[in-house]
Amino acid sequence: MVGESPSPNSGVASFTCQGCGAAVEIRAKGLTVTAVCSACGSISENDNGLFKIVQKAEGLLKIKSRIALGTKGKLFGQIYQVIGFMQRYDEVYPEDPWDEYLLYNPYLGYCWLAESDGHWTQYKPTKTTPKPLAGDFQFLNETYKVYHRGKAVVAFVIGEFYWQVRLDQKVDTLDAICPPHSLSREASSDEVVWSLGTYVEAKTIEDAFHPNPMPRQHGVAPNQPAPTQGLGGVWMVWAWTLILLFCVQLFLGGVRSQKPIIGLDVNATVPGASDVEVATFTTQGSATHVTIDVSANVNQSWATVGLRVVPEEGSKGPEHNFEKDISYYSGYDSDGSWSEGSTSAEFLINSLPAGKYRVLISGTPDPGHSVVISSKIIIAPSVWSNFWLALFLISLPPIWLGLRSRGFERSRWSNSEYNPYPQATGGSSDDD
Amino acid sequence: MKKYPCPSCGAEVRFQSSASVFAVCQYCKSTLVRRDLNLEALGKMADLQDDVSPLQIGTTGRFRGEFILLGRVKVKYEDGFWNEWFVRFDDGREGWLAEAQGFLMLSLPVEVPPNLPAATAIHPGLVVPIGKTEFTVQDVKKVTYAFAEGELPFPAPQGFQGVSIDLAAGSDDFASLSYGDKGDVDVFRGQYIEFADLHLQNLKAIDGW
Repeated sequence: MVGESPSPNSGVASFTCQGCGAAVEIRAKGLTVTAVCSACGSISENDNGLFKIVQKAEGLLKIKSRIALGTKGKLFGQIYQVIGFMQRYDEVYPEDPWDEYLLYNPYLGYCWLAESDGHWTQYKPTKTTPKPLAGDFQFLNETYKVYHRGKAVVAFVIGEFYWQVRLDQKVDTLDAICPPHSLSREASSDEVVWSLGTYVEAKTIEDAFHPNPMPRQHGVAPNQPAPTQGLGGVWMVWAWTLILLFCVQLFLGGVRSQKPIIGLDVNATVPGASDVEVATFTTQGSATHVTIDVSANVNQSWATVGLRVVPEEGSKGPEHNFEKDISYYSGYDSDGSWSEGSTSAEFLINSLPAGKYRVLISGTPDPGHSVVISSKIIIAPSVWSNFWLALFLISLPPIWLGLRSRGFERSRWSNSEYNPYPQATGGSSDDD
Repeated sequence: MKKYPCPSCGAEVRFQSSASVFAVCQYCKSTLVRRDLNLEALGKMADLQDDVSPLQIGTTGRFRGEFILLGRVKVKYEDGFWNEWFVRFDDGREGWLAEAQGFLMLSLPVEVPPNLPAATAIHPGLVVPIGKTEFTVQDVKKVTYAFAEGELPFPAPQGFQGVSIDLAAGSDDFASLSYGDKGDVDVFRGQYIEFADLHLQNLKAIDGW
């Protein structure tokens, strides 16, 4: 049995593995309780400064740590050294293990880096016990939703650890999430340890610890922040735009609250009445919408109605010319009564500049008929259609993001027994 | 501060705290007990099993007052070790800075609460009121002292056996009960604290860090 051979002023010591004779490095001197030989996997334990073998390895090591023990890297601005590697699996899913790296800094203590399906999470042990609340957990003013309960089993281990580690050792686990954070509870017979996890982008890990090979990422991790996590902001913009839109609408509404103007009736007989001035109206505001409803007492006949909106002398606006056929036919046949056409037509003028306008109507009836053409001028009544159109347009981005986010959340929860979304039948799972 | 010659090697041994009754000579590692006007040598302190703590005797810090580390006990329990650093504040308050597996706990002695159960009746999960706060027992550890250095407010011979109990409440409230082998008990209360929040100075340099 060989003791730690301390080298003065160095953080590192080593001992000779009693299983294979290889040198086993100790990087957290005085704290490491269990040290596992990277060459043969034999487990030794610190007994008053001497490392004695407690579990001798059988066969060769089949698993390689993606991050070499001893690698130092910066995580959230703090330097940590990888000193231990462990592979564990959930009792129910032994074919789907995950990797855990024990990280150490003599000033900051320990933390963990867990990797599953190419997603990385840093865990720091916490002494603040989360409070259970209606099936969820409350921790530092955030609500964590339970994602999984299970039993984690140690499948493989190398390096050093600050507690007694054995292969096949089991702990009860609970995972609760509040992306990008997660809470992990591990309970053995004599202690309960809570850790707070934070999702780490794979790129950060690649730059800091150079995993080899870098695991390929797939699926959505339980605590992965949604790409649409800024959704609240988008809805906020939406709400403010809506309020603005509404104010504009009310303002325009104030302008338009003029009574409809009833135009003079025009009597038209063949060969037709030329332009008759039926009304004048005045618009304020820079872009008034004007609707002119025209009706003709056609019955089993048609009439061509011409409409001109002409600025009065001194007004600048353009002249508008329209022409429409109005026809109405009805009758009875073997199927019952039928009708075709309509006795009225609607003319729309968008964005009429402020000014005084004359409305001129001409009419040409069906030969042999005469027709009375009446008109009603409604100033700015059609603005609501623009309002609804604008509402629809500004709603597109948040709706699109919302749908995307919902898809993301479905994927996130697809591996959880606490999945709040109804299970899609025949859907693909994120499992490999 | 009081100075005495080491009865074993003659080197100067300092007591900065009037509460200190025990010291280890930094030159000859004699374990010394203060009796009235002189020191009595009890034996020799074994060598320290090398560790990587950045704390050392003389490290100073600031947390609701300036403090200095005067001594330490390395406590051994079944699963490993932790350090208890004897802390003296500028205003005379004295307590302990515990350093365990990356956690730091700073605590001061408080009055022993009435009806405190015996060590054997305490188990994890038990609620123990200390002052007006309800603390929950986190763990119960059988401990011995593996090593001591500097000055301490109690004799800390190697081989001492006791029971150490950690308690927690709220977000960072910490308390500990320390039962001696004669049934005596000391109660400490304080909090979990982040390394950076202690504003430590005069730390031990660690190679590679």
